[in-house]
Amino acid sequence: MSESREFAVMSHESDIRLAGLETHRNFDPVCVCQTTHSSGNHGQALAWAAQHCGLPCNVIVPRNTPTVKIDAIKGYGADVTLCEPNPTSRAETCAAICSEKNYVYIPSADHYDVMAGQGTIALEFLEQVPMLDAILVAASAGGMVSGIACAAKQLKPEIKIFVVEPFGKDLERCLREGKRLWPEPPQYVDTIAEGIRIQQLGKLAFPIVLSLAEKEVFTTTNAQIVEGMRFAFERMKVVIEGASGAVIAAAMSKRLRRMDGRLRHVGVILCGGNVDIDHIPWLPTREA
Amino acid sequence: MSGRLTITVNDILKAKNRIHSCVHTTPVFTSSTFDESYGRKFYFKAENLQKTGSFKARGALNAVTVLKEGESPPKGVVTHSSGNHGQALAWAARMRGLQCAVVAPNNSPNVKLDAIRGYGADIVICDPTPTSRQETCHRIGRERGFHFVPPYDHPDVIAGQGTLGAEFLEQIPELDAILVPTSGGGMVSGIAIAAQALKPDLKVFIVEPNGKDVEKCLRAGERLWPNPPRFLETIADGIRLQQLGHVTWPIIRELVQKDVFSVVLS
Repeated sequence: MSESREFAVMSHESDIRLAGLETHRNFDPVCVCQTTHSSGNHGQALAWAAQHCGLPCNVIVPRNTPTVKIDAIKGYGADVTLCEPNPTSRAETCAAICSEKNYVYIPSADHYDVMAGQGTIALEFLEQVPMLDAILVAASAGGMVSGIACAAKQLKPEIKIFVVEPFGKDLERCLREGKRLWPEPPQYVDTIAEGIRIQQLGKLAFPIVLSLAEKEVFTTTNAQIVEGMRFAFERMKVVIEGASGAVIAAAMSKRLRRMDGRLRHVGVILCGGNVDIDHIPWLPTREA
Repeated sequence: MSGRLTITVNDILKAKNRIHSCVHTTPVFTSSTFDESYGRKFYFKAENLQKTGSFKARGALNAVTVLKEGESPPKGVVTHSSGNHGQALAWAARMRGLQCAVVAPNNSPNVKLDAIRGYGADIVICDPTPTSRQETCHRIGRERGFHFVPPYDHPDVIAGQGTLGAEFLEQIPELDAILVPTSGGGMVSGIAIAAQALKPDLKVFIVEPNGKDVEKCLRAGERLWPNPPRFLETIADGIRLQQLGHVTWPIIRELVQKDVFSVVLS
Protein backbone atom coordinates (compact mmCIF):
# COMPACT_ATOMS: atom_id res chain seq x y z
CA MET A 1 0.00 0.00 0.00
CA SER A 2 2.75 2.44 0.91
CA GLU A 3 4.37 1.82 -2.44
CA SER A 4 1.30 2.87 -4.33
CA ARG A 5 0.89 5.89 -2.06
CA GLU A 6 4.35 7.00 -3.03
CA PHE A 7 3.41 6.31 -6.60
CA ALA A 8 0.37 8.53 -6.39
CA VAL A 9 2.05 11.39 -4.57
CA MET A 10 4.94 11.54 -6.98
CA SER A 11 2.51 11.90 -9.80
CA HIS A 12 2.13 15.64 -9.48
CA GLU A 13 4.72 16.73 -11.96
CA SER A 14 5.77 13.70 -13.93
CA ASP A 15 7.09 15.83 -16.74
CA ILE A 16 9.16 17.82 -14.29
CA ARG A 17 10.49 14.53 -12.99
CA LEU A 18 11.78 13.87 -16.46
CA ALA A 19 13.62 17.16 -16.25
CA GLY A 20 14.85 16.13 -12.82
CA LEU A 21 16.27 12.99 -14.34
CA GLU A 22 18.02 15.19 -16.82
CA THR A 23 19.91 17.09 -14.17
CA HIS A 24 21.20 13.93 -12.55
CA ARG A 25 22.56 12.21 -15.59
CA ASN A 26 23.06 12.77 -19.24
CA PHE A 27 20.36 14.01 -21.48
CA ASP A 28 17.63 11.41 -21.82
CA PRO A 29 15.83 12.48 -24.93
CA VAL A 30 12.48 10.87 -25.32
CA CYS A 31 10.97 8.85 -28.04
CA VAL A 32 7.45 7.70 -28.47
CA CYS A 33 5.97 5.23 -30.84
CA GLN A 34 2.75 6.56 -32.19
CA THR A 35 0.38 3.64 -32.30
CA THR A 36 -1.84 3.29 -35.33
CA HIS A 37 -5.03 3.51 -33.33
CA SER A 38 -4.02 6.55 -31.36
CA SER A 39 -5.97 9.75 -31.74
CA GLY A 40 -2.61 11.48 -31.62
CA ASN A 41 -3.09 12.76 -28.11
CA HIS A 42 -0.11 10.96 -26.61
CA GLY A 43 2.16 12.02 -29.45
CA GLN A 44 1.16 15.64 -29.01
CA ALA A 45 1.37 15.46 -25.25
CA LEU A 46 4.82 13.94 -25.26
CA ALA A 47 6.07 16.48 -27.81
CA TRP A 48 4.75 19.29 -25.61
CA ALA A 49 6.21 17.76 -22.43
CA ALA A 50 9.60 17.24 -24.05
CA GLN A 51 9.59 20.82 -25.33
CA HIS A 52 8.68 22.00 -21.84
CA CYS A 53 11.67 20.15 -20.41
CA GLY A 54 14.04 21.05 -23.21
CA LEU A 55 14.44 17.46 -24.44
CA PRO A 56 14.46 16.28 -28.04
CA CYS A 57 11.50 14.15 -29.03
CA ASN A 58 10.72 11.84 -31.88
CA VAL A 59 7.22 10.58 -32.59
CA ILE A 60 6.66 7.63 -34.89
CA VAL A 61 3.39 7.80 -36.79
CA PRO A 62 1.88 5.56 -39.46
CA ARG A 63 2.14 7.12 -42.89
CA ASN A 64 -1.67 7.40 -43.22
CA THR A 65 -2.04 9.64 -40.18
CA PRO A 66 -4.05 12.79 -40.98
CA THR A 67 -1.84 15.81 -41.69
CA VAL A 68 -3.59 17.86 -39.02
CA LYS A 69 -2.35 15.45 -36.33
CA ILE A 70 1.19 15.36 -37.72
CA ASP A 71 1.22 19.16 -37.84
CA ALA A 72 0.06 19.35 -34.24
CA ILE A 73 2.95 17.16 -33.12
CA LYS A 74 5.48 19.12 -35.19
CA GLY A 75 4.01 22.31 -33.78
CA TYR A 76 5.44 21.33 -30.41
CA GLY A 77 8.87 20.92 -31.89
CA ALA A 78 9.08 17.15 -32.13
CA ASP A 79 10.48 15.22 -35.08
CA VAL A 80 8.00 13.00 -36.84
CA THR A 81 9.07 9.70 -38.41
CA LEU A 82 6.67 7.82 -40.63
CA CYS A 83 6.25 4.05 -40.53
CA GLU A 84 4.00 1.51 -42.20
CA PRO A 85 0.48 1.31 -40.74
CA ASN A 86 0.94 -1.88 -38.73
CA PRO A 87 2.10 -2.69 -35.19
CA THR A 88 5.26 -4.49 -36.34
CA SER A 89 6.56 -1.61 -38.41
CA ARG A 90 5.68 0.77 -35.60
CA ALA A 91 7.61 -1.23 -33.02
CA GLU A 92 10.59 -1.78 -35.31
CA THR A 93 10.87 1.86 -36.37
CA CYS A 94 10.59 2.95 -32.77
CA ALA A 95 13.23 0.52 -31.57
CA ALA A 96 15.55 1.62 -34.37
CA ILE A 97 15.26 5.29 -33.43
CA CYS A 98 15.73 4.55 -29.75
CA SER A 99 18.93 2.66 -30.34
CA GLU A 100 20.33 5.01 -33.02
CA LYS A 101 19.71 8.18 -31.07
CA ASN A 102 19.87 6.80 -27.54
CA TYR A 103 16.32 7.88 -26.83
CA VAL A 104 13.98 6.54 -24.13
CA TYR A 105 10.71 5.02 -25.25
CA ILE A 106 7.63 6.41 -23.51
CA PRO A 107 4.49 4.39 -24.24
CA SER A 108 1.08 6.01 -24.13
CA ALA A 109 -0.33 4.07 -21.19
CA ASP A 110 1.60 1.06 -19.91
CA HIS A 111 4.20 3.04 -17.95
CA TYR A 112 3.99 3.88 -14.25
CA ASP A 113 5.15 7.49 -14.66
CA VAL A 114 2.55 8.05 -17.34
CA MET A 115 -0.13 6.50 -15.12
CA ALA A 116 1.01 8.62 -12.22
CA GLY A 117 0.71 11.73 -14.36
CA GLN A 118 -2.81 10.78 -15.38
CA GLY A 119 -3.58 10.10 -11.71
CA THR A 120 -3.20 13.81 -10.99
CA ILE A 121 -6.64 14.16 -12.58
CA ALA A 122 -8.11 12.41 -9.56
CA LEU A 123 -6.08 14.44 -7.04
CA GLU A 124 -7.34 17.61 -8.63
CA PHE A 125 -10.91 16.42 -9.10
CA LEU A 126 -11.29 15.32 -5.47
CA GLU A 127 -9.87 18.61 -4.28
CA GLN A 128 -12.38 20.47 -6.45
CA VAL A 129 -15.33 18.16 -5.70
CA PRO A 130 -14.67 16.31 -2.42
CA MET A 131 -18.17 14.82 -2.34
CA LEU A 132 -17.66 12.59 -5.39
CA ASP A 133 -19.10 9.10 -4.84
CA ALA A 134 -18.01 7.72 -8.20
CA ILE A 135 -15.88 8.56 -11.22
CA LEU A 136 -16.67 7.44 -14.76
CA VAL A 137 -13.57 7.16 -16.95
CA ALA A 138 -12.95 5.86 -20.45
CA ALA A 139 -10.29 3.23 -21.05
CA SER A 140 -8.20 2.21 -24.00
CA ALA A 141 -4.93 0.64 -22.77
CA GLY A 142 -5.97 1.83 -19.32
CA GLY A 143 -3.28 4.33 -18.35
CA MET A 144 -5.72 6.98 -17.21
CA VAL A 145 -8.11 4.72 -15.34
CA SER A 146 -5.19 3.04 -13.54
CA GLY A 147 -3.77 6.36 -12.41
CA ILE A 148 -7.16 7.73 -11.42
CA ALA A 149 -8.10 4.55 -9.55
CA CYS A 150 -4.84 4.50 -7.58
CA ALA A 151 -5.08 8.14 -6.59
CA ALA A 152 -8.81 8.22 -5.86
CA LYS A 153 -8.91 5.02 -3.83
CA GLN A 154 -5.96 6.22 -1.74
CA LEU A 155 -7.73 9.47 -0.92
CA LYS A 156 -11.27 8.14 -0.62
CA PRO A 157 -11.39 4.32 -0.37
CA GLU A 158 -15.18 4.15 -0.67
CA ILE A 159 -15.23 5.95 -4.02
CA LYS A 160 -16.25 3.78 -6.98
CA ILE A 161 -14.27 3.89 -10.20
CA PHE A 162 -16.25 2.77 -13.25
CA VAL A 163 -14.62 2.05 -16.58
CA VAL A 164 -16.32 3.15 -19.79
CA GLU A 165 -15.48 1.19 -22.94
CA PRO A 166 -16.46 1.11 -26.59
CA PHE A 167 -18.63 -1.81 -27.63
CA GLY A 168 -16.36 -4.76 -28.46
CA LYS A 169 -13.78 -4.38 -25.70
CA ASP A 170 -15.49 -6.95 -23.47
CA LEU A 171 -13.74 -5.69 -20.37
CA GLU A 172 -16.45 -6.70 -17.90
CA ARG A 173 -16.04 -10.36 -18.75
CA CYS A 174 -12.28 -10.09 -18.19
CA LEU A 175 -12.72 -8.33 -14.87
CA ARG A 176 -15.33 -10.77 -13.59
CA GLU A 177 -13.17 -13.75 -14.51
CA GLY A 178 -9.99 -12.02 -13.39
CA LYS A 179 -8.28 -12.97 -16.64
CA ARG A 180 -7.05 -11.39 -19.85
CA LEU A 181 -9.52 -13.03 -22.24
CA TRP A 182 -8.70 -10.94 -25.30
CA PRO A 183 -7.54 -12.57 -28.52
CA GLU A 184 -3.95 -12.31 -29.79
CA PRO A 185 -2.48 -10.56 -31.62
CA PRO A 186 -3.84 -7.29 -30.13
CA GLN A 187 -6.93 -6.04 -31.94
CA TYR A 188 -8.51 -2.67 -32.47
CA VAL A 189 -12.13 -2.02 -31.57
CA ASP A 190 -14.35 -0.58 -34.28
CA THR A 191 -15.49 2.69 -32.72
CA ILE A 192 -15.78 6.34 -33.76
CA ALA A 193 -13.97 7.24 -30.54
CA GLU A 194 -10.45 7.34 -31.92
CA GLY A 195 -8.76 7.58 -28.55
CA ILE A 196 -10.15 4.33 -27.15
CA ARG A 197 -9.59 1.88 -30.00
CA ILE A 198 -7.19 -0.50 -28.23
CA GLN A 199 -9.04 -3.62 -27.20
CA GLN A 200 -6.66 -4.91 -24.53
CA LEU A 201 -5.75 -3.20 -21.30
CA GLY A 202 -1.99 -2.92 -20.94
CA LYS A 203 -0.02 -5.50 -18.98
CA LEU A 204 0.68 -3.05 -16.14
CA ALA A 205 -2.80 -1.55 -16.21
CA PHE A 206 -4.79 -4.78 -16.04
CA PRO A 207 -3.95 -5.81 -12.47
CA ILE A 208 -4.57 -2.27 -11.24
CA VAL A 209 -7.96 -2.06 -12.90
CA LEU A 210 -8.82 -5.57 -11.76
CA SER A 211 -8.07 -4.70 -8.17
CA LEU A 212 -9.43 -1.15 -7.92
CA ALA A 213 -12.19 -0.57 -10.48
CA GLU A 214 -15.77 -1.77 -10.28
CA LYS A 215 -16.63 -4.94 -12.15
CA GLU A 216 -19.55 -3.21 -13.88
CA VAL A 217 -18.20 -1.71 -17.10
CA PHE A 218 -20.22 0.76 -19.15
CA THR A 219 -20.27 -0.26 -22.81
CA THR A 220 -21.07 2.39 -25.41
CA THR A 221 -22.10 2.12 -29.03
CA ASN A 222 -21.26 4.68 -31.71
CA ALA A 223 -24.80 6.05 -31.53
CA GLN A 224 -24.51 6.53 -27.79
CA ILE A 225 -21.11 8.18 -28.15
CA VAL A 226 -22.62 10.61 -30.64
CA GLU A 227 -25.44 11.39 -28.21
CA GLY A 228 -22.92 12.11 -25.48
CA MET A 229 -20.89 14.37 -27.75
CA ARG A 230 -23.98 16.19 -28.95
CA PHE A 231 -25.05 16.93 -25.40
CA ALA A 232 -21.71 18.47 -24.59
CA PHE A 233 -21.61 20.52 -27.80
CA GLU A 234 -25.21 21.70 -27.74
CA ARG A 235 -26.08 22.01 -24.06
CA MET A 236 -22.77 22.57 -22.37
CA LYS A 237 -21.09 24.44 -25.24
CA VAL A 238 -18.05 22.25 -24.71
CA VAL A 239 -16.09 20.67 -27.57
CA ILE A 240 -15.11 17.10 -26.72
CA GLU A 241 -13.77 14.11 -28.61
CA GLY A 242 -15.41 10.71 -28.93
CA ALA A 243 -13.90 9.11 -25.83
CA SER A 244 -15.34 11.89 -23.70
CA GLY A 245 -18.69 11.46 -25.44
CA ALA A 246 -18.60 7.81 -24.39
CA VAL A 247 -18.28 8.79 -20.74
CA ILE A 248 -21.20 11.20 -21.01
CA ALA A 249 -23.17 8.38 -22.65
CA ALA A 250 -22.38 6.20 -19.64
CA ALA A 251 -23.63 8.99 -17.37
CA MET A 252 -26.87 9.09 -19.40
CA SER A 253 -27.31 5.30 -19.37
CA LYS A 254 -30.17 3.32 -17.93
CA ARG A 255 -27.60 1.09 -16.29
CA LEU A 256 -26.26 3.95 -14.21
CA ARG A 257 -29.79 5.13 -13.46
CA ARG A 258 -30.61 1.75 -11.96
CA MET A 259 -27.53 1.67 -9.77
CA ASP A 260 -27.29 2.40 -6.06
CA GLY A 261 -29.08 5.66 -5.31
CA ARG A 262 -26.38 6.55 -2.82
CA LEU A 263 -24.07 7.32 -5.75
CA ARG A 264 -25.26 10.93 -5.84
CA HIS A 265 -22.18 12.83 -6.96
CA VAL A 266 -20.72 11.35 -10.10
CA GLY A 267 -17.53 12.53 -11.76
CA VAL A 268 -17.42 12.40 -15.56
CA ILE A 269 -13.95 12.59 -17.07
CA LEU A 270 -14.02 14.62 -20.28
CA CYS A 271 -10.59 13.35 -21.22
CA GLY A 272 -9.98 15.31 -24.39
CA GLY A 273 -11.20 17.85 -26.89
CA ASN A 274 -9.04 17.06 -29.91
CA VAL A 275 -11.77 16.51 -32.41
CA ASP A 276 -11.36 17.24 -36.11
CA ILE A 277 -13.95 19.98 -36.60
CA ASP A 278 -14.25 19.12 -40.28
CA HIS A 279 -15.16 15.53 -39.39
CA ILE A 280 -17.79 15.81 -36.66
CA PRO A 281 -19.62 12.45 -36.62
CA TRP A 282 -23.16 13.79 -37.09
CA LEU A 283 -22.32 16.42 -39.69
CA PRO A 284 -21.46 16.00 -43.37
CA THR A 285 -17.72 16.14 -43.99
CA ARG A 286 -16.54 19.61 -44.87
CA GLU A 287 -14.58 19.59 -48.09
CA ALA A 288 -11.33 21.55 -47.98
CA MET B 1 -27.39 67.76 -23.06
CA SER B 2 -26.66 64.06 -23.34
CA GLY B 3 -30.36 63.26 -23.71
CA ARG B 4 -30.04 59.81 -22.29
CA LEU B 5 -31.67 58.12 -19.36
CA THR B 6 -29.31 58.21 -16.45
CA ILE B 7 -28.47 54.54 -16.16
CA THR B 8 -25.52 54.45 -13.84
CA VAL B 9 -23.06 51.96 -12.46
CA ASN B 10 -25.27 51.85 -9.35
CA ASP B 11 -28.06 50.39 -11.45
CA ILE B 12 -25.57 47.80 -12.61
CA LEU B 13 -24.53 46.95 -9.07
CA LYS B 14 -28.19 46.61 -8.04
CA ALA B 15 -28.69 44.36 -11.04
CA LYS B 16 -25.78 42.24 -9.90
CA ASN B 17 -27.39 41.77 -6.49
CA ARG B 18 -30.65 40.73 -8.10
CA ILE B 19 -29.20 38.19 -10.49
CA HIS B 20 -25.92 36.89 -9.09
CA SER B 21 -27.34 33.83 -7.35
CA CYS B 22 -28.97 32.63 -10.59
CA VAL B 23 -26.46 33.47 -13.32
CA HIS B 24 -22.95 32.13 -13.81
CA THR B 25 -19.84 34.16 -13.21
CA THR B 26 -18.47 33.06 -16.54
CA PRO B 27 -14.84 32.14 -17.02
CA VAL B 28 -12.29 34.18 -18.92
CA PHE B 29 -10.23 32.18 -21.42
CA THR B 30 -6.86 32.99 -22.88
CA SER B 31 -4.98 31.46 -25.79
CA SER B 32 -1.24 31.81 -26.11
CA THR B 33 -1.59 30.80 -29.76
CA PHE B 34 -3.99 33.68 -30.38
CA ASP B 35 -1.82 36.19 -28.52
CA GLU B 36 1.25 35.15 -30.52
CA SER B 37 -0.63 35.37 -33.79
CA TYR B 38 -2.30 38.70 -33.14
CA GLY B 39 0.20 40.58 -31.09
CA ARG B 40 -1.64 41.47 -27.89
CA LYS B 41 -2.96 39.78 -24.75
CA PHE B 42 -6.55 38.77 -25.39
CA TYR B 43 -9.10 37.73 -22.79
CA PHE B 44 -12.23 35.90 -23.93
CA LYS B 45 -15.24 36.42 -21.64
CA ALA B 46 -17.18 33.23 -22.14
CA GLU B 47 -20.83 34.25 -22.07
CA ASN B 48 -21.48 31.35 -24.43
CA LEU B 49 -21.34 29.37 -21.18
CA GLN B 50 -23.91 31.59 -19.47
CA LYS B 51 -27.34 30.30 -18.41
CA THR B 52 -29.49 29.89 -21.55
CA GLY B 53 -26.36 29.99 -23.69
CA SER B 54 -25.85 33.75 -23.99
CA PHE B 55 -25.33 36.92 -21.97
CA LYS B 56 -29.03 37.77 -22.40
CA ALA B 57 -29.89 35.93 -19.19
CA ARG B 58 -28.46 38.87 -17.24
CA GLY B 59 -30.66 41.60 -18.67
CA ALA B 60 -33.76 39.45 -18.81
CA LEU B 61 -33.49 38.29 -15.22
CA ASN B 62 -32.81 41.80 -13.94
CA ALA B 63 -35.85 43.16 -15.77
CA VAL B 64 -38.15 40.35 -14.64
CA THR B 65 -36.96 40.61 -11.05
CA VAL B 66 -37.68 44.34 -10.99
CA LEU B 67 -41.22 43.65 -12.29
CA LYS B 68 -41.78 40.86 -9.80
CA GLU B 69 -40.63 43.00 -6.88
CA GLY B 70 -42.71 45.97 -8.06
CA GLU B 71 -45.99 47.15 -6.61
CA SER B 72 -48.26 45.34 -9.06
CA PRO B 73 -46.39 42.53 -10.78
CA PRO B 74 -47.83 41.51 -14.17
CA LYS B 75 -49.18 38.02 -14.89
CA GLY B 76 -46.44 37.49 -17.38
CA VAL B 77 -43.96 38.98 -19.78
CA VAL B 78 -43.78 39.13 -23.57
CA THR B 79 -41.05 39.95 -26.03
CA HIS B 80 -39.94 39.62 -29.64
CA SER B 81 -36.63 37.94 -30.29
CA SER B 82 -34.41 36.14 -32.78
CA GLY B 83 -33.84 33.58 -30.08
CA ASN B 84 -31.37 34.43 -27.34
CA HIS B 85 -33.45 37.10 -25.62
CA GLY B 86 -36.55 34.94 -25.99
CA GLN B 87 -34.80 32.02 -24.32
CA ALA B 88 -33.40 34.24 -21.63
CA LEU B 89 -36.77 35.82 -20.89
CA ALA B 90 -38.52 32.45 -20.83
CA TRP B 91 -35.96 31.21 -18.34
CA ALA B 92 -36.06 34.39 -16.26
CA ALA B 93 -39.86 34.32 -16.12
CA ARG B 94 -39.79 30.72 -14.96
CA MET B 95 -37.19 31.58 -12.31
CA ARG B 96 -39.53 34.25 -10.92
CA GLY B 97 -42.83 32.39 -11.41
CA LEU B 98 -44.27 34.52 -14.23
CA GLN B 99 -45.78 33.41 -17.54
CA CYS B 100 -44.02 34.22 -20.78
CA ALA B 101 -44.83 34.61 -24.48
CA VAL B 102 -42.14 35.04 -27.12
CA VAL B 103 -42.79 36.40 -30.60
CA ALA B 104 -40.28 34.89 -33.01
CA PRO B 105 -39.82 35.31 -36.76
CA ASN B 106 -40.75 32.34 -38.93
CA ASN B 107 -37.10 31.80 -39.93
CA SER B 108 -35.82 31.26 -36.39
CA PRO B 109 -33.63 28.16 -35.96
CA ASN B 110 -35.69 25.29 -34.54
CA VAL B 111 -33.18 24.62 -31.81
CA LYS B 112 -33.82 28.11 -30.42
CA LEU B 113 -37.62 27.75 -30.58
CA ASP B 114 -37.43 24.36 -28.86
CA ALA B 115 -35.22 25.79 -26.16
CA ILE B 116 -37.72 28.61 -25.52
CA ARG B 117 -40.58 26.15 -25.27
CA GLY B 118 -38.37 24.04 -23.02
CA TYR B 119 -38.41 26.85 -20.48
CA GLY B 120 -42.20 26.82 -20.48
CA ALA B 121 -42.85 29.87 -22.65
CA ASP B 122 -45.39 30.17 -25.44
CA ILE B 123 -44.10 30.88 -28.98
CA VAL B 124 -46.02 33.18 -31.32
CA ILE B 125 -44.70 33.24 -34.91
CA CYS B 126 -44.49 36.50 -36.90
CA ASP B 127 -43.04 37.67 -40.23
CA PRO B 128 -39.25 38.14 -40.35
CA THR B 129 -39.35 41.96 -40.16
CA PRO B 130 -38.75 44.24 -37.17
CA THR B 131 -42.17 45.85 -37.68
CA SER B 132 -44.06 42.57 -37.59
CA ARG B 133 -42.13 41.54 -34.48
CA GLN B 134 -43.11 44.68 -32.61
CA GLU B 135 -46.75 44.75 -33.70
CA THR B 136 -47.34 41.10 -32.83
CA CYS B 137 -45.64 41.62 -29.53
CA HIS B 138 -47.79 44.56 -28.50
CA ARG B 139 -50.94 42.73 -29.50
CA ILE B 140 -50.08 39.71 -27.34
CA GLY B 141 -49.20 41.99 -24.44
CA ARG B 142 -52.57 43.68 -24.60
CA GLU B 143 -54.52 40.46 -25.05
CA ARG B 144 -52.87 38.56 -22.19
CA GLY B 145 -51.97 41.35 -19.78
CA PHE B 146 -48.27 40.61 -20.22
CA HIS B 147 -45.61 43.25 -19.69
CA PHE B 148 -43.31 43.89 -22.65
CA VAL B 149 -39.62 43.31 -21.93
CA PRO B 150 -37.66 44.51 -24.97
CA PRO B 151 -34.39 42.88 -25.98
CA TYR B 152 -32.26 45.99 -25.48
CA ASP B 153 -34.11 49.32 -25.26
CA HIS B 154 -34.84 49.19 -21.53
CA PRO B 155 -32.81 50.46 -18.57
CA ASP B 156 -33.21 47.24 -16.55
CA VAL B 157 -32.07 45.14 -19.50
CA ILE B 158 -29.12 47.44 -20.14
CA ALA B 159 -28.18 47.43 -16.46
CA GLY B 160 -28.37 43.63 -16.44
CA GLN B 161 -26.04 43.34 -19.42
CA GLY B 162 -23.77 45.86 -17.71
CA THR B 163 -23.05 43.30 -14.98
CA LEU B 164 -20.96 41.53 -17.61
CA GLY B 165 -18.67 44.54 -17.85
CA ALA B 166 -18.34 44.95 -14.10
CA GLU B 167 -17.56 41.25 -13.73
CA PHE B 168 -15.00 41.29 -16.52
CA LEU B 169 -13.15 44.22 -14.97
CA GLU B 170 -13.12 42.49 -11.61
CA GLN B 171 -11.62 39.38 -13.22
CA ILE B 172 -9.16 41.23 -15.48
CA PRO B 173 -8.45 44.70 -14.05
CA GLU B 174 -5.70 45.25 -16.62
CA LEU B 175 -8.12 45.37 -19.58
CA ASP B 176 -7.41 48.34 -21.83
CA ALA B 177 -10.20 47.69 -24.31
CA ILE B 178 -13.29 45.56 -24.78
CA LEU B 179 -14.62 44.41 -28.16
CA VAL B 180 -18.41 43.94 -28.14
CA PRO B 181 -20.65 42.59 -30.92
CA THR B 182 -23.64 44.85 -31.33
CA SER B 183 -27.19 44.56 -32.59
CA GLY B 184 -29.65 46.78 -30.70
CA GLY B 185 -26.80 47.86 -28.44
CA GLY B 186 -27.98 46.70 -25.02
CA MET B 187 -24.79 44.87 -24.15
CA VAL B 188 -22.34 47.49 -25.39
CA SER B 189 -24.31 50.23 -23.58
CA GLY B 190 -24.28 48.36 -20.30
CA ILE B 191 -20.59 47.52 -20.61
CA ALA B 192 -19.74 51.12 -21.52
CA ILE B 193 -21.57 52.48 -18.48
CA ALA B 194 -19.75 50.03 -16.20
CA ALA B 195 -16.39 50.80 -17.79
CA GLN B 196 -16.83 54.55 -17.59
CA ALA B 197 -17.37 54.37 -13.85
CA LEU B 198 -14.86 51.65 -13.01
CA LYS B 199 -12.04 52.37 -15.46
CA PRO B 200 -12.56 55.60 -17.43
CA ASP B 201 -9.50 55.03 -19.66
CA LEU B 202 -10.85 51.74 -20.96
CA LYS B 203 -11.97 51.86 -24.59
CA VAL B 204 -15.15 50.09 -25.61
CA PHE B 205 -15.29 49.15 -29.29
CA ILE B 206 -18.33 48.02 -31.27
CA VAL B 207 -18.05 45.04 -33.61
CA GLU B 208 -20.75 45.02 -36.27
CA PRO B 209 -21.74 43.02 -39.31
CA ASN B 210 -20.87 44.76 -42.55
CA GLY B 211 -23.74 47.02 -43.57
CA LYS B 212 -24.67 48.31 -40.12
CA ASP B 213 -22.65 51.49 -40.72
CA VAL B 214 -22.40 52.47 -37.08
CA GLU B 215 -19.14 54.34 -37.58
CA LYS B 216 -20.72 56.71 -40.07
CA CYS B 217 -23.55 57.40 -37.60
CA LEU B 218 -21.21 57.91 -34.65
CA ARG B 219 -18.95 60.30 -36.55
CA ALA B 220 -21.94 62.28 -37.80
CA GLY B 221 -23.53 62.13 -34.35
CA GLU B 222 -26.81 61.18 -36.02
CA ARG B 223 -28.99 58.14 -36.69
CA LEU B 224 -28.45 57.78 -40.45
CA TRP B 225 -30.20 54.45 -40.94
CA PRO B 226 -33.13 54.08 -43.33
CA ASN B 227 -36.65 53.49 -42.05
CA PRO B 228 -38.49 51.25 -41.52
CA PRO B 229 -35.87 49.28 -39.54
CA ARG B 230 -34.28 46.43 -41.51
CA PHE B 231 -32.44 43.20 -40.87
CA LEU B 232 -28.96 42.75 -42.32
CA GLU B 233 -27.88 39.75 -44.37
CA THR B 234 -25.52 37.97 -42.01
CA ILE B 235 -24.82 34.43 -40.80
CA ALA B 236 -24.58 35.86 -37.29
CA ASP B 237 -28.28 35.57 -36.56
CA GLY B 238 -27.98 37.28 -33.19
CA ILE B 239 -26.81 40.61 -34.59
CA ARG B 240 -29.07 41.17 -37.59
CA LEU B 241 -30.65 44.46 -36.58
CA GLN B 242 -29.33 47.33 -38.61
CA GLN B 243 -30.32 50.11 -36.23
CA LEU B 244 -29.17 50.69 -32.70
CA GLY B 245 -32.02 51.19 -30.26
CA HIS B 246 -33.36 54.58 -29.20
CA VAL B 247 -32.42 54.18 -25.55
CA THR B 248 -29.03 52.70 -26.41
CA TRP B 249 -28.08 55.20 -29.12
CA PRO B 250 -27.32 58.21 -26.88
CA ILE B 251 -25.31 56.03 -24.46
CA ILE B 252 -23.24 54.62 -27.30
CA ARG B 253 -22.78 58.01 -28.94
CA GLU B 254 -21.37 59.35 -25.69
CA LEU B 255 -19.29 56.47 -24.35
CA VAL B 256 -18.22 54.13 -27.16
CA GLN B 257 -15.23 54.50 -29.52
CA LYS B 258 -15.93 55.97 -32.94
CA ASP B 259 -13.74 53.35 -34.63
CA VAL B 260 -16.05 50.44 -35.34
CA PHE B 261 -14.92 46.97 -36.36
CA SER B 262 -16.99 45.98 -39.35
CA VAL B 263 -16.89 42.29 -40.20
CA VAL B 264 -18.13 40.72 -43.41
CA LEU B 265 -20.51 38.03 -42.18
CA SER B 266 -22.68 37.28 -45.18
